[in-house]
Formats: sequence, C-alpha cells, structure tokens
Amino acid sequence: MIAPKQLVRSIALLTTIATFVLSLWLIGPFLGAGSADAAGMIDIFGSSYGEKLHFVQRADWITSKNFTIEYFVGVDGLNMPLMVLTSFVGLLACLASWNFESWKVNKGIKGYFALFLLLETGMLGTFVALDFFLFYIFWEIMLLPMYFLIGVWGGARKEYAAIKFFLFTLAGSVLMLVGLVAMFFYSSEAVTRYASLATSYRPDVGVLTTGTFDLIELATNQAIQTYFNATDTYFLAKGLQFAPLMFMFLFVGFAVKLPAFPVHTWLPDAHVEAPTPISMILAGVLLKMGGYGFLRLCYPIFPAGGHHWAYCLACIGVISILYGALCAMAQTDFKKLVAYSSISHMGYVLLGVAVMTDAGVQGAMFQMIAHGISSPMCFFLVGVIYDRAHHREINRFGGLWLSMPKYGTMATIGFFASLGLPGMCGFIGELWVLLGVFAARDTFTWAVPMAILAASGVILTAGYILWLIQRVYLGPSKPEHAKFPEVTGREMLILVPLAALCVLFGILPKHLLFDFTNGTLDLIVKTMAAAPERFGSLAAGL
Amino acid sequence: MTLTEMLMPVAPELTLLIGVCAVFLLGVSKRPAVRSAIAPLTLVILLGSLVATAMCSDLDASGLVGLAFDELTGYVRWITLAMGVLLLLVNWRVPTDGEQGEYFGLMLCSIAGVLLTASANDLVVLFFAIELVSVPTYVMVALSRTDQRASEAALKYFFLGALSAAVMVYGFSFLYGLAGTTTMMASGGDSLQATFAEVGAINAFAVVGLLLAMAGLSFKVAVVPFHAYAPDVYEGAASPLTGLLGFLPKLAGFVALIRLLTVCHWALPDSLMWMMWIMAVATMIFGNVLALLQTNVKRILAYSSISHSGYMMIGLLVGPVLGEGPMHDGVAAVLFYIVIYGLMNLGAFAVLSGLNVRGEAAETLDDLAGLSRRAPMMAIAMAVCAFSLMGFPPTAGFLGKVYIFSSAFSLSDAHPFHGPLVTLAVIGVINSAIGAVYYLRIAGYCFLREPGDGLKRVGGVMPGLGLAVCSLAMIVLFIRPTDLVNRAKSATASVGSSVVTRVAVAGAETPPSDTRPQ
Amino acid sequence: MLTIGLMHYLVLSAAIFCCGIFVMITKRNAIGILIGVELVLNSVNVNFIAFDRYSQQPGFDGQITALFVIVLAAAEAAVAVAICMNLYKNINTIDVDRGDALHG
Repeated sequence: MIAPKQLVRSIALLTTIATFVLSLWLIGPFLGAGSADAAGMIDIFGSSYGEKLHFVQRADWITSKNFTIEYFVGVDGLNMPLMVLTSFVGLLACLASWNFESWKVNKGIKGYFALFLLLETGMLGTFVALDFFLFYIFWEIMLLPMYFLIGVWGGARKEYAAIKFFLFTLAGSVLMLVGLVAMFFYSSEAVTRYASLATSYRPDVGVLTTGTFDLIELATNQAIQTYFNATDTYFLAKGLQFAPLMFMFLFVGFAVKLPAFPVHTWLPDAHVEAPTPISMILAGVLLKMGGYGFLRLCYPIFPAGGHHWAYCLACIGVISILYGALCAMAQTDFKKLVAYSSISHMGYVLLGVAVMTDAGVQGAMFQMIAHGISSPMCFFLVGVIYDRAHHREINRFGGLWLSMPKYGTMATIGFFASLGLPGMCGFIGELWVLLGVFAARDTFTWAVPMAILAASGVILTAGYILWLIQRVYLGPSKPEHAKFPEVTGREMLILVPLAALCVLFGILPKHLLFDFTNGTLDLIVKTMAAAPERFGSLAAGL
Repeated sequence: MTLTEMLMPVAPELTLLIGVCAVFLLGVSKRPAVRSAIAPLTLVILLGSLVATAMCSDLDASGLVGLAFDELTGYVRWITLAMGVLLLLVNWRVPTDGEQGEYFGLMLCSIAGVLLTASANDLVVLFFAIELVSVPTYVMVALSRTDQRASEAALKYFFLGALSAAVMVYGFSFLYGLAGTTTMMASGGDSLQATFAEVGAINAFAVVGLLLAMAGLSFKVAVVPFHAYAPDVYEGAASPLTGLLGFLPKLAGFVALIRLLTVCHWALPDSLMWMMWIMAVATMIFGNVLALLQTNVKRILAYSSISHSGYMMIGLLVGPVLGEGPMHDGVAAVLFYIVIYGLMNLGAFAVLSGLNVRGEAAETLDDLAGLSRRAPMMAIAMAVCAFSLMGFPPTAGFLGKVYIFSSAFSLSDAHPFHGPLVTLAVIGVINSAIGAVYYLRIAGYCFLREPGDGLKRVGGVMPGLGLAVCSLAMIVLFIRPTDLVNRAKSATASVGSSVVTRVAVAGAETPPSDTRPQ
Repeated sequence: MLTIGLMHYLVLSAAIFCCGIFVMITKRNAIGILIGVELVLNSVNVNFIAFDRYSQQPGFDGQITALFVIVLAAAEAAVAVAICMNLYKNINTIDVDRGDALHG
C-alpha cells in the first residue's frame, strides 16, 4: 500500500509526464512542411499570420444574440514550442517538488500538488487559447494557484511577495480587460461599416457580421484590421487613436509579466520567496507569457500601434537589459541574482520584438525558449544548494566544485548557457536579436546605438556570471561545505535533460526551433512591417 | 372576473403575506416544539411562493389597481424568492428562542416588499413596497443580536432610512403634481410616462421630483453621499442578517430606480445625468478606498457593498437597449450582477457567521487568520466569495463585471453621454483593481497566516448548506451563465421599450442612439 | 388682495420639509429626531393635497395618497419607539450621542 503522501506525488508526477508526452504529439504536424492534410487543421487563406493552425477545437461557451464566447484552441508555430516547454518545465518542477516533506513548511501536500496542476492547466490554457476571452480567463486563473503557492509555501516574506505578485499582474491585466471589451465592440463596428471587407478566414462563417473575440479573426479580417489601425479611429475621446492606445493597454499587462523595466519589481520578491519548483515555473514559463502576448495579440492585431510605440518599447527593452544586469551584479543573494538576470534576458525579447525585423522577432522567440530552459536550470541549481546550506548568501559559499564535482559541472553548463556562451542556447537568441536591431537601422534612427548598448549587456552578463561562478564554485573548499552530499539521482534527473537541451539548442537552433516557428513568425513580421503603408485615415477614404 | 382570477397574479405575494400572519401567530406559542417549527415553515412558505410564481404565468393586472406585471416582475420574483431561500438557510439560527416568529415573519415581509416593488405601477404602491422592504429590516437589525451595537445600528438605520423614504416620497409628490396622477405607466390615459413624453424631463417639477426620488432611492442602494449608514449597520447587525441587508434593499432600490427611469424614458436631464455620474464615481472610489483602511471584515464588506453599488450604477446609467445581446444592455447587466452580488456577499457573511473566536462571532481580519488550517472548507468558500467579489475568474463575479463594463463600451458614438460613460467604465475597471487589494487581504488572512487560538466552527447544517450553495453558485454561474444572462436580458424587454416610445412620441431628431446596427 | 395659490402651499411644504431636516440634524434625543421625520412626512402630505386641490384632473389621488402616508407615518413611529426602547434597555438613555459602540 502506498502512503497517501506518496500517492499524491505520484499522481501529480504521472499527470505531468502524461501531459509532457501528449505535448510532444503537438510537434507532429510541424515536422516537415508537407504534412498539410493532418486532421483537425485549418488553412487560413490570405497572406496572414498563423498560416496553419493545427489541432483546432471549437465549441460555443457563452452565447446569446450577436455575441459568442468560444472555447477555441489551436496550435501554430508560435505557441507549439511554448506548450512543449511548459509541459517539460512542469514535469521537471514536479520532480523538483518531490522532496516536499523536507521543506521547512511541511503542510498540505494535497493542496500543493492540486494547485501545482491547476497552475499548469492555466499556463497551457493561456498558450493554447485563441479566443481572447478564453485567453484572458486562463491568464487570470493562473494567478490564483501562483498566489497561494508562493503565499503558503514560500519563504519568510511570502505574504508580501505573493500579494505584490498578484496585484502587479492584476493591475496590468485590468487594462487588458478594457482592451478586451473595447476590441469586441470595435470589431463589431468594423464589420458593420466595412461589410465588403469582412471576409472571415473561416469558410464556414463566410462574411463576419458580428463582433468577435477570435484572435485569428481579429488579426486577419481586413475590415477589422482597417478599422482598428486607422489613424482616425478614436477611443474615449477624439485624438486618442485606437490602435496605439489599445496596444498600450495590452502591452502593460504583458510587460508586467515579462517583466519589463518599470514594472519588474514584483519579480525578485516573488522569486526569492517562492519555493524552488515554483521559481522554476515562474522563470521558465510565466515570464514567456509576456513575450507570447506581444506576438499573439499586440503586434498582429495592432501593427499600427507597434509602429507608434517602437522607439519607446525598444528603449524599455534596452533599459531592462542593462538595468537587470547591473542589479544582478550588485546582489549577494544567489536567487535574487538569478531573478535579476531574468529581467535582463527578457529585455532582449522586448527589444527583438520592438524593432519588428525578421531576425529580431525570431531572436525574441528563441530567447524565450532558451531562457525557458536555462533559467529553470539556474533556479534549480540555487535550490539544490539551498537545500543543503539553508542560506543563499553568495559570499558565504566558495569552492563548491571540490566538494560536489557533479554539481559544479552542471552549474557551469547552466550558468554559461545563461551567459550566452557561443554553442549554448543563450547565445543564439541574443545574437539574433542584435542582428535584428542592426537590420532595422534603415528605419530605426537609433538602431545602432541601441544594438551597441544591448551588446554591452552581454558583457555585463558575462561579468556577473563569471564573478558568481568564481565566488561560489571556485576557490578553496570551505570546511562547512565540505560535507555537502553530492547531487542525488533525482536532482541529476532534472539537471541532465536541461543541460543537454542547453547545449543542443545552441548547436542545432534551426532544427530544434526555427524550422517550427519561422513560418508563423515571418507572417507576423510581414503584417507588422506593412503597417504604415496599409493603414491610413478612414476619412480620407483609404 | 372572479376574485380568484383577480388575485391570481399576486399569488406569490399573497402566499408570503398569509405566511407572515401564520408565522407571527405561531411565534407567540409557549411550546418550544412549535417555535422550532417556524423556520421550516418559513422555508415551506417561500417554496410555496416559488410554486405560485411558476403557476401564475398569466399576468393580467387589469383587476388590480396600481400593479402591472411584465418580464422584469417575473425575473425579480424568481431571484428574490430563490435568494430568499438561501437567506433563510443562512439566518436559520440567528433569532434567539422566542423571537423566531418575529424574525422570520419580518423577513418574509421584506421579501414580499421586493416582489411588490417589482410589480408596482403606481407611485403610492412603489413607496409602500419600498417601505415594506425597509421597515422590517430596521426591526430585524435590533432583533438579530442582543447587545448595544445592534440597537444603536437599528436606531441609526431607522432614522436614516425613514428620512430617505420621506425624501423619496416628497419627490414623488412633485411627480404627482407634474402629471396629476400617481399611475406610472398606462397604455392609454394619464400616466407619468405619458406626461414625461410630452413635457420631457426639463420641467422644474420633473427635475426636482426625480432628484429627490433618486436621492431617496440612493440611500437604499447605498450610494455616496447616502451611504453613511452602511458600515455601522453592517457592523452592528448579526452577520447572516447583513447578507440580507446587502441584497433585499439594494435589489428593491435598483428595481425602483429602473422603474423610475423607465417612466422618464431613460432620458434624464443632463444635470441629473451628471449628478448620477459623479455619484457613481464617488461611490466606487469612496467605497474602495475606505475599505482599504478597515480591519473589521464586516466593515470591509460594507464598504465593498458601497463600491459594488457604484459598479451597478454604471449599468443603470447606460440604460437598456432593445434587441441586442446582454453585453449591450446596462440594465440586464445590473439585473444579472445583483444576483451574483447577493450570492457572493451572502456567502462571505455566512462564513463569518459560521465562525466563533473565543465565544464571540468572528469579525476582524485577525479572527480569520489561519482559517484554512482550522476549517478548510470554510476557508475555500471564503476565498471563492472574495475572489468573486474581486471580479476574478473563474467566478461569476468576473462575468458580472464584464457585462457591466461592456454595456458602457457598447454605446455608439452618437449617444450624448458616450464619452463620459465609457470613461466611467474605465474608472470602474481601475476601481475593481483597487478593490482587489482588500479582498485579497481577506483571502490572504484565511490561507497565509498561522491560526490564532480559539477559532471554532459553529452553526449547523442549514447555514452550512446555504454557504455551500452560495459558493458553488459562483463557480457554476461562471461556467454556465447563459441561462441567467438571457433571463436578465429578456427581463428588460418592457423596460427597454420605453426608450423607443420616447422617440416615437417626442420625435427626437437623432435615432435611438444606443441601438446599434446589426 | 393676496389669493392663496399652489405656490404658497409648495413653499409652506418646503419650509416644513426644511424644518424637519433641521430638527433631524440638530436633535440629540431619539424622539426629537422622530418628530423631524414626521415633519418631513407631513410636508409630503401638504404637497399631495395641494397638488390634488389645484390639479385639473378629476379624482382624489393626492388626498388618498396623503392618507396612506399618514398611516405609514404612524406605523413608522411605532417601530421607532420600539427601537428606542430597545436602546434604552441597553444604555439607559435615548440620547443618540451616547451610543458609541460602533466606530463610525
């Protein structure tokens, strides 16, 4: 008979394993371009993004006259890698939760794993939802388990950290809610005014006649696009252009999650207080939702808004890179350092998206995945040593490599990947983003200085990571650390796949990611780049 | 027409009133067995009234002076009686032995008052119906507890309530002076509605009358600056009763406001519109900000109740729209939201009433600390209600808020108050984020704090059942809101038709601005 | 010679209304406040009857309404006195300033 505690963990682990295996299934249709007639697939005609959606499922959820909220999910090149990443990190985080009873706060194992699985549901739902309303609901639902996971099972200042995390994200998503509602009614206005353009991408709909929450529809329907992005569509008051304003409403919500510079302050607190597996998920998956939101919502639906704010966003991206790196350098708390490095790394995502070039967007996407692999590894490495030392003061460590050689090796791989060493996953993303910024120099006056600044972020990163490795792993072994047990088999089970992926993604970026994503990303970039010519004033008659 | 036929449409109200007599009479019995049967009897009466509501589908009011029945009446009857059952369950053990007769009798009176408010077609009937809702609640506050706070709260509630009723009826007298009749709507002949169609709402009597009537009703729904009683009364009354105070008077107030606005064709004079706009903003901000400063959960919920009235004011100002979905209809959104609000508010108070700290009823945030360790199910129910009040998915409170706010967004540019109303909705959205802070604090105390000593579960099966229904309903209504939403929408059919009447009668130059092309 | 018209009654009722409000605000004795409420309700009655008397429409709507309001005022007074007695039982006074159990 298995003890109940064992049973709870086992169920959670089996569930996450099953989820991971099923998520691998999603890759299927993306292997090779020729498998065009896989089941459950929609062709979107027109030169729009999301050329191929796979595994589409639709059902009406809340319906009444003129108004439908759908359960609409589907997978394309943009969310497929993130889904796989989520289920992968979820599985590893579940393994990392295995020593639950050795945590100081030993309570409620059932509650913990139930919330853990709810969190994974929320994350997967957010990535897979293609109806804005559904997306928003998953986006919010995800907050609940996170709040409790940090607040109940966290460290000393857990309550403060949990509330801060919750309120920051909620404040961001409040504006998204305004956007959600406004977009629905403006789309209904659009299809009424420009009925001739309102051809839907869905053959079964034909011409769209009502407002919609369908994210693909919002991005591909010409009537909606024309109306949303026109310079004289206003919101709230005359003079407040719709597209830039809505873009900002959505952007703020995603920027909090990313997190970008002025709204990042919840992240270090949340990370420091969260238990290790939750930190892994937080860094590995939750932060990606910000970047995913840009690419799924902001840019395809409001390309004009993207152009409007391009400088502003690129600047925020550069500031995040430098600020995050400088803060990381100043930390003495191991986990806080990794947290600030996350801010720095996600700055590249913002920068890459903001310049709206092929390479920039591809780099941003790659950086998301790369960071999704390297940062959970870093947080787990911190967790491993915290389990043994029960503190995270960098300056009190030293010479760990001598007492724990396997751990030292793994740590080096993880941190070098995070550093962006050529041949490791972090390198490709940053390089592509920088290339993307250079590529934008014709349209973007300050592209070159920005690229130089961003590149100097790489140097700062190298600085704090090498210094970290020196302080923690190198040097003479300290007597209080000498008796630390070497990493266990379970810990290796978590570290080795992550380390392998860190290297593999550095060597085979094309085969592991770009082949899957670039089809979708190219179309998004095409939409974005075409914006200034395509959208003018409605009054001028287009 | 026989007497039976004549009275058939008011069968639900009559059932309740006969029940009131029976309950009052049984309440004076000296035999404990009889007295303990009163609560079940009240339940039977409420269920009987529900059955009567279901049966009297033929609502011919021709035999009854001062009453009219439409879809709104039916909707309000259903939700009031259904909520009444829950209110009864939660209040099951509130009255001390010997006072059950009075307490439950008065509760039935109050419920009957709400039903009458929804069918009133005459200012006098409306006034009396509102008073029938309120006066019993004053007494119930005094009965609900035996300590000084309850009697103080009752006195305060009574005086402010009586004043507001007097102000309201003073306003009604001007409306009567304007129209020469107290009939609100009539298909032919004199009525207030017809008068408004003729003179518009710019007449001095009309403005003064509407202003005073709305001020009086604002008290019932606890809108700033007529909110002052709410925190004290909520704190003074027993928790289960507070759940009732947050629902019945508010529902009656909103229904009366809807009726009144229907009478003036949803075309308030600009000055009144702006006044209501400012009141709505002040209500949301004031309620939320002051709730942040409280440590007593009942006071937090009182201020939250004020801010929720502010949200519902948005829907009221947007008004009804014919022929569109519920996302477009402010009144339908209010009617939907008030049910959700009643449930989640009652749930939160039911949790408080089910807890005892060192022999006293739980009231402060500290009393709730560590609830998840002592009574996990109660803590979960509290969290569900708190998140619903916050307007957070996956709870029905989220959908309620979405409907309210989106009704403002659905107005077309041509609407004279388009800009201000959308701004109002944006202010509402921001306010709901501010509100999140204190609801989160409630949930946080339940789950994140270490339990203090002396926290105990009390109460019996019935309050627990009521609580379970409330919190489950929050989830269920989120997953499947369609039925209730569509009912709320169809309840506004006759309310919305008055908008069209205005155009037809007054020959307004712009087409009905808030109906959008398909 | 001054003829008494509708306006005079309205001014009278407004004056009574204001007196009632004033009494409610200034009195500290619960019974005093109750008297203020009654004054306000009586101003309503004056209004209804005056409007009825001067309206062109047939019928006695206003006067009947005034009767109803009087009945209601009586009922309210009964409730008020009951609540006052309840308070008196608790704090031995009906001076509303002495009630301070609620931190409002």
